[in-house]
Amino acid sequence: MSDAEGQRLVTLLADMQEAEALELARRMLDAGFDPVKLLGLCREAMAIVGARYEAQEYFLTELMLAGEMLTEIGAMAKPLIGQARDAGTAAAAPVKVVIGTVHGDLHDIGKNIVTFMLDINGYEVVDLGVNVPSKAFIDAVREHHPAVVGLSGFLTLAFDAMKDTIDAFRTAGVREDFRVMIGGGQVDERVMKFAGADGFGQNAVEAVSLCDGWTGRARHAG
Amino acid sequence: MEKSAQQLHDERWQRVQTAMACGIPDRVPIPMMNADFHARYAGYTLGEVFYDADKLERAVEKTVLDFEPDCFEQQHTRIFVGRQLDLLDYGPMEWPGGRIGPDDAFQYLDQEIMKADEYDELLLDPSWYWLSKVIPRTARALAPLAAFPYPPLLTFSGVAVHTAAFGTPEMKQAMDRLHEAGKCALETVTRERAFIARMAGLGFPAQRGGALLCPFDFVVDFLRGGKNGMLDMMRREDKLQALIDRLMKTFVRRVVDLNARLPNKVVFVPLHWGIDGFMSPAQFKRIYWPQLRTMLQMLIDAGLHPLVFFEGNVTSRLEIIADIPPGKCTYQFETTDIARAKDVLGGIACVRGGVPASLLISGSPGEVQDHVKMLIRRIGKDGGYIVDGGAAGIPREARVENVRAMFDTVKAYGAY
Repeated sequence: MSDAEGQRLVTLLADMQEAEALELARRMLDAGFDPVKLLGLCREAMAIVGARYEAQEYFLTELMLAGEMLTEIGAMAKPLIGQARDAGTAAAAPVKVVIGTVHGDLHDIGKNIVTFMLDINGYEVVDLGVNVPSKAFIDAVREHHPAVVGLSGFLTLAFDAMKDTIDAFRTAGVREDFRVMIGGGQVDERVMKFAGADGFGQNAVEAVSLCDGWTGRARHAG
Repeated sequence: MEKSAQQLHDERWQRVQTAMACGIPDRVPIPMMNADFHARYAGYTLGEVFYDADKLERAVEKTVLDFEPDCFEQQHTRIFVGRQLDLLDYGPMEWPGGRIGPDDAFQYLDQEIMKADEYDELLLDPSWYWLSKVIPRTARALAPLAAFPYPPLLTFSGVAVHTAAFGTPEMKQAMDRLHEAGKCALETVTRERAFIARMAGLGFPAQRGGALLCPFDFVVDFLRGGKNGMLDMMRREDKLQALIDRLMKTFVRRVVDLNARLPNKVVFVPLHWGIDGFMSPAQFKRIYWPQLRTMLQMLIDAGLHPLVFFEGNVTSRLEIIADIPPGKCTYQFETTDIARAKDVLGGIACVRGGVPASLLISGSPGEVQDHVKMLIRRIGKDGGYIVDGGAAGIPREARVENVRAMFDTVKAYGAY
């Protein structure tokens, strides 16, 4: 299998050519291409997608389609990974981020985009879903020891729920173990102070910047 | 001499109408529009106002009488719907006192009702698709309607065969439920009409007549769901476009006609999927704005005034949405840069909003006063401006003293 084909896969994925990209990925795997390497190519393509999103060439629709393509290729490649050699790519332990939509709120589009952008920027994201009670956040930080916790919310009731969750971190004695970022809907600096968070972001790019700043990581590592 | 309620009513409505036509009224108007603030203010849970019209009316009336706005948002058809939703077992929604707690906010659930491969079926015969697919899939108590016979079959000897579908116990149960829900709905609309008349008698006009979604949001909200709608823009924009065009010709035309018959000529148009970050400027220009603009023009041509509510932030689209006949539309904003909005839209569309949800919830009355004074000076200059909270009006969690400060400041400093 040639490097040219791999490069073509990266280009097709980055250019949102879904049908062609999936067909090529399938053909490469059928011909015995290393599935771990294939996922590496996907990651390379997603970094391009992320950069185009930051440059405002791509928007939500492109990120969503990229996520779909990644899921499809993952479903093809992952069952084959057990049969392949261990690529030994897991070098340094990745920085973890725990994320979720706070209790009372069921919205997840913004949270999913932040998760996607953090993931393609090399973070290991533990996504707790929507309507997440404070206790579930506390259980998750005790289990995963994240560097950052992301609280998402679209409705105005989320302001109180974010504050409750951060207060609960304090009561549980874990507040100082990580940074807390908030985002979504009408979240702004005033809400950040009200809730007692360390930072806020108005989009997924800002969320990645916050994490990079706090963890001292270079952009697009991973 | 003290003014009569009628005089106050007319004065207030004139103030609002003048601002909406981009003119300079006697003072900057301020409406009472809120997302469930009234329930909390009056000491009720959201579940109570969802199920009890007396409590809902007491809550709205108390809020209006205490704050004396220039107009108010009627709430019955949005809020007094708990029993209908229960009876129909309405799927894509959570509401207080229903499947969620009595004081939890109602939320529309993002669901895929129409499958990606059903565009052609819907396009071929929208009404039939709606009757036999959309309704049974959303209102679970009406699932038996999936067996509804194709209406043209119910002619001549067809009635001897195809009415059999109505003979089953399941269909009877569904029809009985529909009748019960219909009785509740009748009470909702009747009471709303009576309430609006009563409030007018007390001097307070309702802010609008009907409401209408734009076709793009309609498809994404009620048929495809947010994620699938966004993916359809990438995978099958031609089908999405064809469906939007079809809805423009049928559904939109019909709802415009319905609204034109109402006495209040203001039509509420809430928008949410066209905002910054959700779609690109190119997509907005291609598949969102042209259809929305056509729809707004249809409303204007029918003698109606669209009150267009742009959820979220549309700062990057201000120049595009400025392409509208001057003095005929009100644009209500949430987090859009209101100063830029006034710069771009001044004299074209009335600008409404400007008081952030975060300020009303977590700020102090002094901060609210300073902010509203700034809005009056900066955004209110030359008219065409209505002060409002930035979360579909006043957020439920707003501090009462902050809402009070917002109203007091407008009345003390808002005169032209």
